[in-house]
Amino acid sequence: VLNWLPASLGSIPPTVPKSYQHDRSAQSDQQALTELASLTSDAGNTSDAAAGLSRVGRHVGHRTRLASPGSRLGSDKVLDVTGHVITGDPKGAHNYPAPVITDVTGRAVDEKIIYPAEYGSPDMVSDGWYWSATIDTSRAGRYAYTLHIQLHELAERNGAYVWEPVDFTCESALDVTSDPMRNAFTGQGVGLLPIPPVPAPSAATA
Amino acid sequence: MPARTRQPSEVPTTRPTSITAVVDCPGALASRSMEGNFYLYDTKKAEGSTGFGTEELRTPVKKGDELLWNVVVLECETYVAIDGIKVDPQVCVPERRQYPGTDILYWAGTVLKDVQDSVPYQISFRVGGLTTPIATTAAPALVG
Repeated sequence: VLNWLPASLGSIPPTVPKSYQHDRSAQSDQQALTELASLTSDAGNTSDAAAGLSRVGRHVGHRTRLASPGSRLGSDKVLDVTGHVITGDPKGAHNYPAPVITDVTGRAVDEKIIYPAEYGSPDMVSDGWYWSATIDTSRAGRYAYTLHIQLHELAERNGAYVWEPVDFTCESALDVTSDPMRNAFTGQGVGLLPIPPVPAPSAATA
Repeated sequence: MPARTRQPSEVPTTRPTSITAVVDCPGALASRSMEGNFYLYDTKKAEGSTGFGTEELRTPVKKGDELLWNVVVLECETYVAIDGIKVDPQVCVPERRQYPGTDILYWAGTVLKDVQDSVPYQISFRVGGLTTPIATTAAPALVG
């Protein structure tokens, strides 16, 4: 069984919760409201008003508009690569969304060597969606396939920011061999993976 | 959370140079070694990085650059984190940080001076349930 898991270099890693961008947007809204409440309760003090508004502004950020009704990218705030809401020009240091695989095609699929499909799961990675395929290992040979990958570019359209899709393809191949089955991670025979039976508490909580 | 993990006081306004280690966790557990079990990438390919996808990535830097190290695991249900980065403290002092609202770690630091030649560094990883970190034996480097 093959799983394809795309990740973006120079971005927040895919190990953060799948709702991370939405959660950070909600947190920054809450922080802005708290600052605003503090500002209004001290409305008589005009000397602090500018500083107070500046504090509110630090949490407001830029919310993106959906590129299309079915877009997977929600209407959340633009984050930087360290997970903070960007309040200045978002095009300077924004975090890119994870790449999206949109299809798997080619000889390996046409000849039914692989049966790729997109699956949804409660997985915390890849927004719960991932591509997987079972392989017919009875027919040795090299089988090419094409990954269709969609990246997203931050664009300003009619005064709003939008994640615009940009499509790419990536050529790859499978070598189906008749060698004895072995563990692909360890290179050894088929058996248990070398995971310690009892994880150490200190590492598990790090 | 350990005391040495901290949040940056200011949000960076420029994009840091990210150095990402893609780690094969079961491979590292099987051999108790990082050799052959991780692949380094950075976001400076267009500016001349070499060793892309190897253990000896060479990242061009200059004084004032912000560096960020993080991890992507090859097998998504495994655990790997950077435990430490040893580098000449006159060039960079990486600090452990976390993505806000999570326990996911990254390391970050500022390049303190221009690099004349090559400054090697060593990354230690926490891998799976092992209590002892595993350090890299190859020498990725920051280069001038």
